[in-house]
Amino acid sequence: VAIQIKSDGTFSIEYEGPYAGLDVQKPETLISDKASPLFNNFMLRNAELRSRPAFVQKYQGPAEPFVTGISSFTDINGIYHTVTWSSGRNMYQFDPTLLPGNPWVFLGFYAPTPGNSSPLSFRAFANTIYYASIYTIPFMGYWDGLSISPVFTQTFSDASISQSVAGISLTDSPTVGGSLPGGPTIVGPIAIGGRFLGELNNQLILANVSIKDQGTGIIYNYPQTMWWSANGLPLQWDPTQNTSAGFNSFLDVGDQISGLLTLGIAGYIFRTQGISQFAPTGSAITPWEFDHMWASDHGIGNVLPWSISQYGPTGAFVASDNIYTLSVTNAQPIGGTARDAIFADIANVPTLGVANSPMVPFGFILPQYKAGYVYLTYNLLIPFLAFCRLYVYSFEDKNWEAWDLPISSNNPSFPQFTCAGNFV
Amino acid sequence: MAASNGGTIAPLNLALFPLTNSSEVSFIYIFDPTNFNDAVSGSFYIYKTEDIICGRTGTINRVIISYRDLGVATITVVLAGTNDQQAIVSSTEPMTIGTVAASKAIVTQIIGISLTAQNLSLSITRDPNAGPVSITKVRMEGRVETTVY
Repeated sequence: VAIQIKSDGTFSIEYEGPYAGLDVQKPETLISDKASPLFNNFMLRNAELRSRPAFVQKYQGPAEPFVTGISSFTDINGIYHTVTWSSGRNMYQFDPTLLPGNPWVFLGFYAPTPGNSSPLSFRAFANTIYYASIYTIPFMGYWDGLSISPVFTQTFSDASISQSVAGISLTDSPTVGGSLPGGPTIVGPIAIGGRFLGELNNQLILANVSIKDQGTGIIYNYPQTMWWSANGLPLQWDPTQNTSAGFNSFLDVGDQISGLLTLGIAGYIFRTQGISQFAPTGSAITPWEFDHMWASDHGIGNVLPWSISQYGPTGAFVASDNIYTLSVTNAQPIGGTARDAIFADIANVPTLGVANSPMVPFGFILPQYKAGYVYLTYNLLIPFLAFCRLYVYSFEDKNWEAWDLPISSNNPSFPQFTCAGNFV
Repeated sequence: MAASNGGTIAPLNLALFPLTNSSEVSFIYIFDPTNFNDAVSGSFYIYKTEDIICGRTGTINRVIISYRDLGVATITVVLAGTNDQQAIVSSTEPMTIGTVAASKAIVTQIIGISLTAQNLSLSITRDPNAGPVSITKVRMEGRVETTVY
C-alpha cells in the first residue's frame, strides 16, 4: 500500500514501478497506486516513468509514396534484403551505400496493375519473399533477392500465362474454377490472390481469396476460402497437377476470413466472429484437418483485418470484446484495465472495418526498437483526424501505454501511416 | 550460384515506420531509443487519486521526485483535488531537472508545493521538446485530520 498515515495525522504516499499502466475500468480513487487513470507519451519499461522515444525521420522514403508493406528476408546466399512495396506497383530495396541520400533502389514492378493502396500481406519462404493482394486485381508475386526484378506472372506448359505466380493454366482453368463455390464457368487462365498470405507444412496459404478469370476479365471473390500451394512447391497451386494443392471454402460459417496465423503444428484462420484451426494430416490429397474452434454467429474472432500480428509462438489480434493473444494452447485476453479506452477509440475510427482504407487500425508486434533496445510490445495504431494514437502493450509487464503521435489521416500538415511498422 | 542483387550482410535491426505526407512524399520514421526528448509531442502522467481518509480534507505540503538524469528537462508538477464546494482546485510548480552532463545517475529533488483538498492527485507534465524525463519514484508528504468524531 502506497499510503502510510501516522497517529499524528501525517502521511506519506509513494509511487514507484513496476507500473500497471492505464486503468480506466475503476474509479481513479480505487485503482492500484501502480496504475494511472490517464497518461500519454510516457513509457513504463524497466519500472521507470520515461518520456517515450522520440519519433523521428530516419531515412527518406521510396520515391513512389504510400508504402503498403515493409519487410526483410535472407536470400539463398545469406544476404539480407529490406524491401518495400508502394501503392503504385513499385518495389524497392534498401541500399545503405546510398546514404545519406535516398537509400531505396527501384527493383521493378511487383504487380500486374498499379493502384494497390491496400496493405500487402507478405511471407518469407525458402529464401524468397512472397507477397499477395486482392485490392485491384488478385495476384501473388515474389522476389528471391537474386534476380533483377520481382516476378508476378507464371507461364504454364500450355504456354498460357497467369497474371499471378499463383495461377491455373488455360487448359486446367475450367475444371479447377468450375469446382469453386457456385460452379462458375471459367475460361482461364486464372490468377489467384488473397488478402492474407501464410505458410505451414511447406505450403504457402492464401486466405480470403479472389481469382481473376483472365479469359473474361471477371473477378470472383471468395472471402471464406483458403487456397494452398503444393507441398514444397510455392508456384504450384493447381490441384489437377499436384494433389497436395487445393482449396477449401468455409461455407458453414457466416463471416469472412480476416486474418491468418500459423503457430507450431497448426494454423489459425481468423474470421470476424470466429477462429478455425487447421492442422496438417500428412495426406497429400487432404492435407488439412479443419476445426472451427467455434462457429457461433458471434464469438472471438478478428474484427480488424490488419490488427493480427505474430512474434514466434504468440499472435495478437482484436476481437469484438477484447484484445487477445493466441498461443498454441489458448487465447488469452490482454485488454486488461485499458480495454474500454482502446475500444472507445476504435469505435471512433470513421472507416472501421474497411480493410482497403488507409484509415484502419494497424496492429504489430515489435521485439525491439533497435538492436540492443528490447521492448517486446504489441502495438495497436488507431488513426484519428488530427493524430494517431498508439496503444502499446508490454508482454513482459502486461500493461498498456497510450502514445499520441502528431500524424493524421487527413490533416495536410502531417504525414499518415499507410502500413504497419515492422522490425527489419 | 547466382549472385545476390544488392542487400546487406546483416539485418538493419530497426523498427521502421513508413509514412506519406499530403504532398505524396514518403518518409521512414523510427522510435529513437537514444533520444527521449520528442520535439513534437509532450507527455503527461496522472497518478492515482488519493482520498487519504474519505471525507477528511488533507494537505500535501511537499513532493519528492527521484529521477534518472538523462539531461536537462523542464517538467510541471501539479497537485489537484476537490473542495467542499465541489470545485476543482490545484497547485502548479514548474521545475527543471537534470544536468547537461546527463550523468544517468538517480537524483532526488524536493519540491515545495502545497494543496489542501480532498481527492488529491499528482500529475507530471512535460511539454514538447522540454527534455528527456525518467522518473523512478515519487513521494508526497502531508497531514490529515484523524480525530474520530
